[in-house]
Amino acid sequence: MVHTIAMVKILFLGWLKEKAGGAERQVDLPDMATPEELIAFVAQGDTALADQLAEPSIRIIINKSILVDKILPDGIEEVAFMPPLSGG
Amino acid sequence: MIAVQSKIFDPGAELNLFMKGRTDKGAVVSFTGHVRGGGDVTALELEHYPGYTEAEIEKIEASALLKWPGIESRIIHRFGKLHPGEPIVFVAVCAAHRKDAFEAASFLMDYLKTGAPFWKKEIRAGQEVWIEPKATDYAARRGWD
Repeated sequence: MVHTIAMVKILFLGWLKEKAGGAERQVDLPDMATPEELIAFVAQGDTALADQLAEPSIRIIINKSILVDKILPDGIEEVAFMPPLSGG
Repeated sequence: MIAVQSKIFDPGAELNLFMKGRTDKGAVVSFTGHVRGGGDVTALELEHYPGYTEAEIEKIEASALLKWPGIESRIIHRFGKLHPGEPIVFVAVCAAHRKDAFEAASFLMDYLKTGAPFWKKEIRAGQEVWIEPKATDYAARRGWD
């Protein structure tokens, strides 16, 4: 397996941006397999943020598609953490 | 056809434009939602997720088109900072007959209220409060299941 590091855009939608200290980050994302690893990497030691992102009500959207599997897809370019929506 | 935009729109003009040139639809039902003031709310701020929000609203529209074949619809939803009295959402459905138009318009609004990816903040005298759909909104949506 070839290990790569990709430049990935991380978005925190709605009120999550206040918990994350910003709406958007660019990160060099190493290869990883699970949403748990992704959350740990994104939170960078901020355990309060990691716990928040791991809440079942927070959905993960990868490349504009909601993540339903327990395994991350290949070719991640954009990740958004989505709190419960307010609706239209 | 859908539009997600920050720009204000004229619901009457949109309705006329939607029906312009149609000769096969005998009924059109439209709904316009306006920002409700009251209390100490001075503005609403809506955030969307470009690309994703449009795609999700298109899915809602597609499910209405499947449920009521032959209808056509127009959905406009705004984002950004909106003030009391301004239009925020517009739904129009035309059909051969009124029943489908009424039902599909109601269905679209019930689904948009709970399923459209927007995050809303009420701006009150110096305070900002994030809001979520009400229990009655979810109940209205379940009514279609």
